Amino acid sequence: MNTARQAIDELISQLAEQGYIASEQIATTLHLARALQRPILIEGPPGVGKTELANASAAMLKLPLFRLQCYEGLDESKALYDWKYSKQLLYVQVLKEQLQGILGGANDLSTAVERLHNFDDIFYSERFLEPRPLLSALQSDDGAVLLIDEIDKADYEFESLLLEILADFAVTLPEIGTLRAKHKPLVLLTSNNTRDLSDALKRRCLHLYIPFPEAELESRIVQSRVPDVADSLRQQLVTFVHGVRQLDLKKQPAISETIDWARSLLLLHADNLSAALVDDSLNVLLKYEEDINIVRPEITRLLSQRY
Amino acid sequence: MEATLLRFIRHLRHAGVGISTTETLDAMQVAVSLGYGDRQLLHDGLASCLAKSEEQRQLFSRCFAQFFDLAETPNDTTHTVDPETPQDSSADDGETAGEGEGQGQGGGGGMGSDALRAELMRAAGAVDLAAMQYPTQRGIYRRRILDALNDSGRRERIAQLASGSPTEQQQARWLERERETQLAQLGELLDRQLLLNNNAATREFQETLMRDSQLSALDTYYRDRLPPLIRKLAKKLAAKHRQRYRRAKRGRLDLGKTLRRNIALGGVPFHRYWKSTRREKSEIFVLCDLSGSVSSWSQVLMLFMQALADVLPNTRSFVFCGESVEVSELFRQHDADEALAIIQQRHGMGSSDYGRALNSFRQLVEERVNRRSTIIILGDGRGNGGDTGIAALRELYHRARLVLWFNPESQSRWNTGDSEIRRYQTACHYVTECGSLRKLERLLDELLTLIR
Repeated sequence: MNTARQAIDELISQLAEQGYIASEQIATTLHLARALQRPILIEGPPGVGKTELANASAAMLKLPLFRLQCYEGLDESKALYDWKYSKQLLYVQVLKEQLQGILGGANDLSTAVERLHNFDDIFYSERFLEPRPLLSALQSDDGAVLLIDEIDKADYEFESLLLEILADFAVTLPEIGTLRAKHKPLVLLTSNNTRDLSDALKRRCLHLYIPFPEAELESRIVQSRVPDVADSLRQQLVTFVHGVRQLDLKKQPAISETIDWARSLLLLHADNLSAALVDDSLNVLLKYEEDINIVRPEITRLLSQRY
Repeated sequence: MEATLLRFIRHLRHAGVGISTTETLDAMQVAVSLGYGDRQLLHDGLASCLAKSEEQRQLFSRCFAQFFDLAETPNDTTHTVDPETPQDSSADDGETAGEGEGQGQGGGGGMGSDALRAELMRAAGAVDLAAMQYPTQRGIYRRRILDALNDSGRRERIAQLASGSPTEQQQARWLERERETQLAQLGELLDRQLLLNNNAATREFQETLMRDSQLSALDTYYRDRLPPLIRKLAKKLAAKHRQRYRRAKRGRLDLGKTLRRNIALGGVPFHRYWKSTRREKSEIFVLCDLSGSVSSWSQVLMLFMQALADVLPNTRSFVFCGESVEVSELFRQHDADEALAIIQQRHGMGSSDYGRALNSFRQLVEERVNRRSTIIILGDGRGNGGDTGIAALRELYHRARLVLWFNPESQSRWNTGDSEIRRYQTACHYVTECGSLRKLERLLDELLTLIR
């Protein structure tokens, strides 16, 4: 049982090398996903590093990352595979004479059809297959990391399409048959929870919820991402952001905003948060006018909070 | 340990976390690969495969703490909740040590608290305590377990010893104490078992009752429990109707356009064009009577529509006592429960004036009502003899696709007293009784089938 603990600690330090500070929960789930060969469904507010986890895992495992961004209307011809239609047409045009030559010798219709049959489904072979991210991830030679981003934006039909891939790591193409993964890829799905996903999908995945991080963790994340920021400023900044998250805002500032803010403060050569400075740079942290108006009167109070 | 894990999963299911067989198998693998030694690790690992939403995760954490505290107790007295038991046991042990010499092996003597508990657990297993579901079954199970422990035999023996020699009397006192300890443990065990089963059966029974009974007949105890139930029912409805959401969004091949555009390529269809169909969105207007007689039903309907927002995004809610007022914005700004309280406070209380209500409602929505709109009116149609406003309703009836009137009153009472429901029937597509949650659920189900 200690081996599991060791493996997880190792995972945390390896992810840290890639600049991703993972909580124990994240590392445990990632460990299990690899051990059980299950996809992970990552949920959480926007900007807490859901997509980043996939990037970091791919870099850590030294595997190629295939990313599929979901959107309304996404279907299998864009996600899974498509036939190279133009290439098929072009070949037909080019090979027209060739075909005539082959069929020319046939003296009746049945012989001609018989000869045609011998060519099998030339135009529906893997050579004319245009793999999209899902198929590419399955076909890659030494495994891959497959990121299906913002699955909640896709249609319900698309979820059903994913089920075969998530459960068996296989794709069935009507014209060719079932293609199995050579190496089962590590699959990560992210969702911003704009709608409930189907139970069938959830059942096949491990579930990971990434909340806004604790102050201490966030401070370490900022340190790893923006190492040039002085310690005192970083702590002030993180405390301030945590204070802001307590308020009723339209959009809570996420880690990515904290990092952006840290970067912009660095550009402004600030080494201390002052009320005026915060006031001027608040638009980096908050994306809505209403939110800024809520936070502005609170700046002094938030700044006086201790870390 | 597998049996423990299975029991834990059953416990989770009782608590309302749905877990499938595949997930159970996953959990087994997780437990094997993580081991049972590290509690936090086990918690995180099991959570990732058993709890699939934020809400479930909280339930999971609570159940995990509850369950594994109980599961640990038999081997580990430091975790016992009842602070008296360990004290008792230490007192017992002390005396046992002192007297054990003289007593020899007197009547199964020298049993510490742990041994007593183990004996109790065996007895509980023998009578299948896990099957206990209702708090009212406590007495029966207590009796059965005591029988399994041969309690009557023990009491006889105590009585017998108590009338004997001084050493025997001491032994009796000591046995008596042992029995009391075990009884206390038994009470605790029963409590925990009920907690573990989470009163699942009781809750189920209550829900059935609430769905079938007249809402006006429910007392506040049940009425407070309505919103979660409504959300649950609405979720089921939404899940059922979501599937058909976009049928044939991509159209068929646009042959004409494809041919025209490919003329330059000698008519070989290099580029293809698709016909696309645009689905027009239908709007739903809900008008609820807030007057005393039916206000609780209005709240239920509004809660339902709110919970169905996922599948019916274009719903506008209106309420009236006198003038009709739109309240959709309130639901957007506040929690459903909070919004209802505000609505009740601002607009509620008063007797209904259908004339004013329907006329003002027509003015508010007339421009938006067209052949795709559905109007749902909830009220008892009792206008206290005032203006009925039927002309306004008829106008909407001609414009809208569907005008439904939900009447919470039972059909036998329609058209009695000041009820004008018969007249309204001529200006609605459908007037129906919705006396219980089950009926309302069925009506909404049909509505969804129709308009989606």
